[in-house]
Amino acid sequence: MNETLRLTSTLTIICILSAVALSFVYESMNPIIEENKNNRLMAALKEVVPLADNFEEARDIEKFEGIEFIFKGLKDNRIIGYAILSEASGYGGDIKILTGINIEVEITGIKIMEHLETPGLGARIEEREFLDQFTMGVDAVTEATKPNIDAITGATVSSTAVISTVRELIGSIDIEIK
Amino acid sequence: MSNLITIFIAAAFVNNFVFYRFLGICPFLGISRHIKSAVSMGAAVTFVMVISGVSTWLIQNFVLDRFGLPFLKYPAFILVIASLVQLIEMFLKRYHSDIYKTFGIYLPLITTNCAILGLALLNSILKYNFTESFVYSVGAGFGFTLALIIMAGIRERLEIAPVPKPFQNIPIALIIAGLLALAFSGFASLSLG
Amino acid sequence: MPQPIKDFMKGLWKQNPALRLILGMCPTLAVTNMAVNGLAMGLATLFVLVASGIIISLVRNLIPSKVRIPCYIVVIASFVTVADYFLAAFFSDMHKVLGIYLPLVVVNCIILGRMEAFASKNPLLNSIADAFGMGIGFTWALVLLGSVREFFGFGTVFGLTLLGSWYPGMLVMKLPTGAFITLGLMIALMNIINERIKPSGAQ
Repeated sequence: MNETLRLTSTLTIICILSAVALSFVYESMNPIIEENKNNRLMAALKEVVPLADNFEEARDIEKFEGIEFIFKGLKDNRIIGYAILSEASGYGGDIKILTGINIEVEITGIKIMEHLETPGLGARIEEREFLDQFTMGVDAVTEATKPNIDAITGATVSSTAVISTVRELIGSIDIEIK
Repeated sequence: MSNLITIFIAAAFVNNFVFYRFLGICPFLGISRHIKSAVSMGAAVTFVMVISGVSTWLIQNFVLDRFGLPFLKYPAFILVIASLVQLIEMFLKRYHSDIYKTFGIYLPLITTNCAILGLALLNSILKYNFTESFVYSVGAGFGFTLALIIMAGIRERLEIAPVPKPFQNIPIALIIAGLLALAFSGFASLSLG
Repeated sequence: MPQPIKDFMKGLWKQNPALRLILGMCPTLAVTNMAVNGLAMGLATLFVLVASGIIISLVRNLIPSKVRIPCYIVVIASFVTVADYFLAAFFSDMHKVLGIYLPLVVVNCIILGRMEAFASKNPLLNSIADAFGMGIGFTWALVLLGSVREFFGFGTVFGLTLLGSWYPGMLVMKLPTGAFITLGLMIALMNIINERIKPSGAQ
């Protein structure tokens, strides 16, 4: 009995010490991590809605399925566009796409925020060559009728996931905003 | 339902733990020389994967998230896994000594198998619900076992092949694994909706 | 040669964890698609090795043998958590690249192996030397592997373009296949080199 007590108390003490130390580390590091996240988000929003000088989360617009958040892009306090984060089902997991539109629902910028795709293959959805196709006008019609965005060779699953999700988004947000 | 099937196929084939995610390589290289031991190891790993996958999911959702303790994730997960392996070993030794004889000796090795911890972390990253985690764990274990068995089949043949001395054992196994990885990448074309 | 120096040196070549002891395979294969990623993983592992080694060597006589493995694991997992938060705060791009493989350092057999085989039985200075040796040995192996894969895959090493834009890049090097095969070749090469130096020098 004595031995069991000694065993469990040693392990428990180590666990408690570890938990305390880690909570300190967490308390000190987390603010920095959150700030970094925020900075990255702001930079990304600016990238996809370049003409805006300020952003506000649009809580009044209904978020339909697959949308994580919508930000209003403001210039001189007038809404000039929106930035929407939507999710696509990629090869290795979810792909988070940030799409920027102006009030005519034309894409002003697009950025891949997060993905779990294969480096060198599916990860090529981050390449400007692929993404710049979107700013040249995406139609809210099915691929069958108007396939004007090329998928990436060797990254079919990843790129078609992005393409169809963005198409769907443009189609639905058109209805929402107008 | 089709979602669950997709998850299973993704875990077992498309995103195979060994050939795509590089998990469980140490046992994969160590225990894949004979088909019999490969099956035993695979079974043991699958068994532990499912139980620990479910347990860590419960810990994540009912303890870590509820009490706001994200920084305890890694110690908590690995302690749960280590304890589970210990418990499973004791349980099997006592009540199912036949099963213990089959795969019991591999159990202590499984604690440091990155596939187990990797599975627990992936369930959390992919934000699966309970059923999805369960299916994912089964699929992952199945894929791991499959990789092991295929490898063992090939290595059994290699025993009698004239492999140059520097390449014997590990290097040739790695090269074969590379070719198998190439084969498995063919699953990428499985359109999963 | 003083013992701590000997303890340090063995991890660099003779008992190189990745290329001779064949430990820590998962991160070795997973994050060596580029040299800088291999470097980051190596340094993170070095940190956890040394930090855990210090603690475990210091308390080695206080931990009862029966619970030593869970205790070591908790210590290791804690330092991995520290490394995780540190990278997330100050090197967030690298943190993203390392992804799930950073927490997997917890079960990296090198660390638990060294704790069990060395730090739990040796005084502080020797344990630190051993941990450093193993960590640096692991790091250079990863950097080498990463450089080879990056060179053939992208034509660059550490981001510096060595081959011109005419080089289309070898796709297989960026894939799991390239990882397996390159590591296999490297270990075979190590075996060949060690066979050569065996007869001429002392083993």
